[in-house]
Amino acid sequence: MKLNALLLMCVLLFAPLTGCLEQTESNDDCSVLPAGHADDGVLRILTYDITALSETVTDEFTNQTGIPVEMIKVDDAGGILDQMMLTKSAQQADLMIGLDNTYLPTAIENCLLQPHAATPVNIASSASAFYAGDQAIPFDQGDVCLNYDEDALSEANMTVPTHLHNLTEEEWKGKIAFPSPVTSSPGRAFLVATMEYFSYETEGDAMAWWTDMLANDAIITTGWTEAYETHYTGGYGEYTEGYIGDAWMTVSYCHSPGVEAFYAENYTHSTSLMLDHSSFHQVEYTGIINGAAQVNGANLFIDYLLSTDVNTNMPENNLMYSVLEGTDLPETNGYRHHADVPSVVTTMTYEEIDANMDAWLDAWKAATQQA
Amino acid sequence: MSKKTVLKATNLAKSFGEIHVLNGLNLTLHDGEIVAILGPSGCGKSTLLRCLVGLEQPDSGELEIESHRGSKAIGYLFQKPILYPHLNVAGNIALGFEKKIPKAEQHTTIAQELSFVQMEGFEKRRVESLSGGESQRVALVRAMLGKPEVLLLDEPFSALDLETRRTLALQTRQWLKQRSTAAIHVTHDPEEATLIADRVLTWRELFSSEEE
Amino acid sequence: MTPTSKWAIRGISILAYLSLASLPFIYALARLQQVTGHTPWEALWRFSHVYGATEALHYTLLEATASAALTVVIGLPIAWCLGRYQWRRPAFFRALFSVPFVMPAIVAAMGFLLLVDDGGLLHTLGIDLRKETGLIGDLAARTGWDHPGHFIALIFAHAWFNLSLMIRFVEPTVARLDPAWEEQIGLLGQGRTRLGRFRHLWWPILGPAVLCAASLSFLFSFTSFALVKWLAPFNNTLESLMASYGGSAGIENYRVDTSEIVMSASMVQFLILLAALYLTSTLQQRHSTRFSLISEGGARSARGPPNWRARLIVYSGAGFTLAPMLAAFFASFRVREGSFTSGMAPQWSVEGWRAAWSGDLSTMGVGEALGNSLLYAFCTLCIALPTGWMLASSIHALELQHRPRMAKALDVLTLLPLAVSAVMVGLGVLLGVLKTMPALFQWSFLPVLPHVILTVPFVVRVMLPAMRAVEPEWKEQALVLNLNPLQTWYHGYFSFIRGPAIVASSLTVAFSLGEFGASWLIVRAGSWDTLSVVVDQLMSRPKFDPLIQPAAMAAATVLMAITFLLFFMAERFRSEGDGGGF
Repeated sequence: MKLNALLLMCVLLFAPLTGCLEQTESNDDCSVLPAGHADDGVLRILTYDITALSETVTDEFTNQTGIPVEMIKVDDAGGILDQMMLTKSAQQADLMIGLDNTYLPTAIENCLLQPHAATPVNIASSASAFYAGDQAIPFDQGDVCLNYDEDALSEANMTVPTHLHNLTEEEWKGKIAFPSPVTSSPGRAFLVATMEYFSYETEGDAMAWWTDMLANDAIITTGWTEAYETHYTGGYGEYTEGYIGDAWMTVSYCHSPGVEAFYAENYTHSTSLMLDHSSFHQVEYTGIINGAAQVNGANLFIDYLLSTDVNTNMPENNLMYSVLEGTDLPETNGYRHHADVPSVVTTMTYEEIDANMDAWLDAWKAATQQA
Repeated sequence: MSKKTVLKATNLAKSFGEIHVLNGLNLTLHDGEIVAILGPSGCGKSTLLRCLVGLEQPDSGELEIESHRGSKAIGYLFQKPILYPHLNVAGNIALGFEKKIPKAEQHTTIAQELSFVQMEGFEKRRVESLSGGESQRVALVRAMLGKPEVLLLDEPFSALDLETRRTLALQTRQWLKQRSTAAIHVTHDPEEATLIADRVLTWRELFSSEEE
Repeated sequence: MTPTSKWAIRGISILAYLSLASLPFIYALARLQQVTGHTPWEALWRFSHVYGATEALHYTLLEATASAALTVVIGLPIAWCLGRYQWRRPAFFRALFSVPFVMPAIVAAMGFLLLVDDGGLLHTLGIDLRKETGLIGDLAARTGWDHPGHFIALIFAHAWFNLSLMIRFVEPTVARLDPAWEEQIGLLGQGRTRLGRFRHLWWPILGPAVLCAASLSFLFSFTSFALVKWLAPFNNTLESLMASYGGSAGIENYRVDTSEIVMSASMVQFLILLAALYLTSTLQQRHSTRFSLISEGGARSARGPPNWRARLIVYSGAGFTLAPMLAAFFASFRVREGSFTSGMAPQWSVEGWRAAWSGDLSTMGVGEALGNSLLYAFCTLCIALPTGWMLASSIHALELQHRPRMAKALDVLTLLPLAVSAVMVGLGVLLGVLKTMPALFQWSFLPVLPHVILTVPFVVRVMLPAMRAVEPEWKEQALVLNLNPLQTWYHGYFSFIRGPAIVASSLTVAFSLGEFGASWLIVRAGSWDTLSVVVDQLMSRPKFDPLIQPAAMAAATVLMAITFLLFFMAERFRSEGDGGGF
């Protein structure tokens, strides 16, 4: 009898709550939304695990401005977008740091960002070309491209591929690891690069190439880490747990060989595959979240992030290029020497990515399932 | 000479489902008297004692306890000695004290009681290390410590060997008589009944006319 | 306390816990229904059309079943030998075998990878489970089996994790069984052969315990994620499939495909696990009421010290348990160093430890993170122990009142959080908190919530059998001795469940330290970071910097050491006769 009453109470409790969920969240125009949380003077930054944002860096910001900083961390750049979408009605963070140019159009289209008041003066054109609006500002950049193991190719007497089609040949069977574009930000960037690459061919078909790659036993991983550490033979993965070492090529940054050398006293046997239009110029952005409470703090942090003191350290602290004009990778330990710079960068525009990214992902899933 | 009645059960009845274990039971116990009830296994002897001590509630009938302490005047010895494994012998016995008394006095009293049952020096022993007879003696000491006016013994010696049963039966009688404690001892062993009791009743006799 | 007020308190705890445990799942399901336009049952029917789902289900069922079977094969002999003989330090072994169960999966994964890698223990014995050359490669070639080495490594890792289940369920049963039972069967016609004794004595007594442990092993292997990700990178289980896509699930008009994946997979997982939980609950009930016990000391001393076979088995088991942990410990001192002329090579160094303590490579140092971990663990204990106790006592009270169906329903419901995908709960908690109390996100004790939800089932699993085993005579004796109600409760009841309560407490604290429910919270603020989060953080970073990995192993070593200490202390506080419980 007593428990029957208890069960009834449960039903009564659940029923109105499930009713609440039927309200659809919508914001038809991109007006600035009211704050999703109370302003307690703390700046909340939504980001993935960006190594540049160490405690030292954030503490220094607090020392300078008096504004304490809290980080809300998700797994990767895609997670930042997912989180902002999920919490649209009540944003918990003020500033986002880490969406790249393959995600930014979706964020802007969904009114997830609001105009900032930062006015940095010396952003390189390579960083500002993709998007120059006021809802996001770049803070680091790099080129996503294929890396391969020079020693492995040399030992196998293989020539360096001169075309992506070479990778569908027998000698490359099962020897390339790709992070999935569905779940990985570099993977997504590389997918865009392949779309661009094959658009320069007559009858070029990127999806056919992906199908062929899967038929040639290309390894698809969930994220970059698995592809680079577990499968790729050219990097530090050999010295980490779980190394399989069955891929002589993978997707990473064109400057990743430079990073390898930086930490290994100028030693590396990894290099980048420099094929025109096969690399994607990735830019990472910061922007004030629509629904932020601590807007002032967010603006100040953007200025801080783009200050010379902080941004010129991107190569060492974040393993990416700075966005400031006239900066480069340090020469220490062959960092700059071993970093490859593509001569022909992506021409994929904001509008093209905005219009096609979802369709490309769906097409990729269909193409790779066929194999 | 009329003896003072210390416990009287009239027309007690108790059923478990369809099984009528007690059906119109009558029993009178006098002050200082030891009564043995003889009956076969499973006839309801334990149920009777459990009703008398309050562990079961009879379905009908009357139970009178002639004591200002009410049901607290009744002590009980289980068939299997229930000694708490987290306490040693002294700790188990100490549970029988009615009131809080100083540790030193507790210690002395426990030592005295243990010597009465020829278990000197057993205070710190773990209860798992005791034999069956020793366990039951400790349980008896503990039960008597509460100075019951009536002690109910539920076949406490049934698991022991013949020699130990006889010894314990006599010892128990001696102790009960020393303290003028009335007792009801249920058993299926006629010799044990004769050794311990002033009066032996059969189970059937309890259901005839009002018992005197 | 009157029965009414007792039931009122019970009712409130039950309601509070069931709401906490089920609301997130309900919220998440409702949102996914809204986003995909499918009801949960439709999602179930559409399972086979969902990208990667069928393969994931096949793999999950296969590895979970194999893992459970392997757990029995490895764990049963150890439990038998440990329980049967008079060991000098059974508490040490019990504590040791308990540690894997609460280890963060990523630590276990690293430990196992170290064992199976090039230069690892197995590799030196000619068994290459990682690159699958040699024997394993031959096996793959002959059978056409894809990645047998990874599968074998995975099920052994699961068996390692779940070993403690077998020990905890079976060892106390063996230890406390009256030797007279064995002697008796040997003198009877049916018991003259080994098979006869097995059929008529050992299987009826140990069977429920073994099956209970096996079904829980199945359950934990089924929901395994981190171990699958690291040890079997070419395969997905349902949980790892959901974890891959879960971040973008539940968002209106965005990546509806990921919502479909999560919804279908979670429904299938939920139904399978509910069945497993029902079985577990039934088996545990049978196990705890099966037979009478004598004290452990009495049973063990009857058999004497262990013979050489028993020693071999138990020490091998201890070695199996220690191996991955020792591997992680030693890895914390290995730092690779590069040279332009000679390439890279690992060197012995304490730099990893220094980096871990200073927090140079993570959001905070190990010391501070440990402090956070202990604080959360303490808070979790303060809520989970009384809640679980209350739930167990309610189930037991219902059983005593001859309401088996209601008792069973409540019993299974308390296990519900173990059947629900972490992804779903994370989504549900996020949605629920957003709708009701968004300010809760800023509350630094929010992580305690998933810890409590996940540890309460274990408190119930430990306390309930102990409550069932308390015989009413203990209380009756106290009553006839005229003890006051508090004394009656203490001597007649609490003293028998104090040991299991200590075990439950140590489990709760250990689970919380291991951040069992960390993945439930999608949002995690840096200032709350715990030791387990620091390990996860370090392991997830690109390891260009050679100090990252040893620092992660150093943090993991601290976590392992604290956990072992915890269990060992708990074992010391348990008296010899208390038994293992869960």
